[in-house]
Amino acid sequence: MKVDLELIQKLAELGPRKSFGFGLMEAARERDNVVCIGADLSGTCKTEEFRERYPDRFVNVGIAEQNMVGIGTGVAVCGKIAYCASFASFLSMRACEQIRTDAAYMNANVKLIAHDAGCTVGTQGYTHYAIEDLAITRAIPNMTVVSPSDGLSIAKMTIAIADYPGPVYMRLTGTRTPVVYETDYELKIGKANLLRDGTDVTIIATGSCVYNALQAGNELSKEGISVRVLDMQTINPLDEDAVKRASEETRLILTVEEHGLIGGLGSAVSDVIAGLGQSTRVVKLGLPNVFGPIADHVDQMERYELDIKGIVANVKKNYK
Amino acid sequence: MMTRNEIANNIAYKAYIIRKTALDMGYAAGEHGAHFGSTLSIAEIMATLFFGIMHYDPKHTDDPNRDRFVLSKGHGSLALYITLSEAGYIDKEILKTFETKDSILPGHPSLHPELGIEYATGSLGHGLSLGAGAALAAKWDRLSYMTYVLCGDGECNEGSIWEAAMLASKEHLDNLVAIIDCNRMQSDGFVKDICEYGDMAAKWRAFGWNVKEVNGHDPLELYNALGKNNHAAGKPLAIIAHTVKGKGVTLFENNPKTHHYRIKKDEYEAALDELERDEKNRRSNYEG
Repeated sequence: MKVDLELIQKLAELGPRKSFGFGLMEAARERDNVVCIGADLSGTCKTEEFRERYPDRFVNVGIAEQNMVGIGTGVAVCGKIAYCASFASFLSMRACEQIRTDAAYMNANVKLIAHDAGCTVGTQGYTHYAIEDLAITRAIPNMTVVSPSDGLSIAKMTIAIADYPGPVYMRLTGTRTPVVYETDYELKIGKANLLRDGTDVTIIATGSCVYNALQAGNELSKEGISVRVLDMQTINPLDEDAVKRASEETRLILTVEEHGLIGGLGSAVSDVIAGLGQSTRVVKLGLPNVFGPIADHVDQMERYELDIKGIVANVKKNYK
Repeated sequence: MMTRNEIANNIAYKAYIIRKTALDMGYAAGEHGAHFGSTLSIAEIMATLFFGIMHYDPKHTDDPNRDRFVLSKGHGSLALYITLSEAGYIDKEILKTFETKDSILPGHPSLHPELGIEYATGSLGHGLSLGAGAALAAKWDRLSYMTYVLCGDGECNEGSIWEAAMLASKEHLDNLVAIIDCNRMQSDGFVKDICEYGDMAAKWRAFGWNVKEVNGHDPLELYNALGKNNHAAGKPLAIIAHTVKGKGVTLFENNPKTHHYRIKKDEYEAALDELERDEKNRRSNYEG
């Protein structure tokens, strides 16, 4: 994939779903063994173009997520790289045991594409929210869990996981893809990306919250608080070195994620800090552990202080 | 070239070996116990597949054209391990480690392609999707191998079986065979008391499958049903195998108390005697 300004601008317009669809076509173009399993959400998950271009590498199993992951594992065992796409809620919970016992236990080359995680679907309600999926998937042995942050990183990650052996859960959040990466960058699964450096506070963000964290970091720096911002694109395995450095080199760590406060990025970071025996404070921003009121995505992000304003306020409140 | 009768005789003999070795291994497992009933129920099915029907070579476990086998009812692992041992995949010494500390042979199979164990199974309702995936991959790659999936009738309580059944028929997977071990028992007791499924054959037919019903302990019936002649173009094949849970050992036959069982010394010895007497009779009948 040739990355230039034009592509970055194009992906910024596409949003998470279509950025994945674009990446999938790129991954498939150079790899004959990339296949796609759909569960009656090809339109939503943007796998239609793949289906039309490669009808012999696509199967629609209907509204049957368990079967999607089982079939995906079955073809993966036979040498395919199987992309299985659905809403994060159905994929991680309806097909949870197939993910764990088929894909992960057999270490199969299954790439689970979890669309519309967190509160992305807004007023559609909590049946379609996934505020538990990071907690579920990162607890599964063999499972790599990634959470890219903008159009370019989603497209790059979609391609990168094709060449990354074993099962991967790729989580997509948010409705838009404002630019985090203005130029191409080296994507390494398992490594955090340093977006801006600072010496007072580290904001560790993932997915849809990364753009907001970066803008918040820029604002705070203007006000005299030196902020480091990390894009934690891989939740499992976590970049423990980056967390350790943040703990040693800055006085406050703020984690920001569109996921429940139990078991996600904040929990993973806290686990590392607890093991260090250091007293660095960790403040976790995320979705509360309730089936709460509905609202559009943008309004939920504001309500739960995951937007720029909320992140700025939480840094000011907690950094002394 | 063996005659059908010779093939059937060999299958019956292998089924005897499966039963006898399962008793030995299950007895050796001691307090860990074993799923004797399910293992005895599928002895002829396993023997027919591996010593009459399937194409494989234990020296080339990655041959792309090898036939695939999924033991969807993974608790029948003893039958799988013993069959693979007879087929040349698993050393007899490894068999002795069944369910012991650090063994690669747990009560439910974990993945060991080098030993011919190509799927980790044991959570029911998963295997038909895995097998449908293997059959689909064969279609995509234009490979001629067949995929055989062995399910339990109790296992068909799981909804995911029917998701896979629907898909296999819709994708015209005529390279996929599901064998349903209908012993009419499940963990809690008899099917009729737990979740009666009615006409199993009619269900698979309704899902678009080509269906054959056989006596699951008759090698010739199994061999004939699984042979190429029975494959209808464009349709997956379901073999409804009517079986007896615990077949061949009175202690286990249709006994709802022995689904997973710790066999005692006197029971083990009596069961062995029973198997050996039956095998002797069978051989003398065959040899006439």
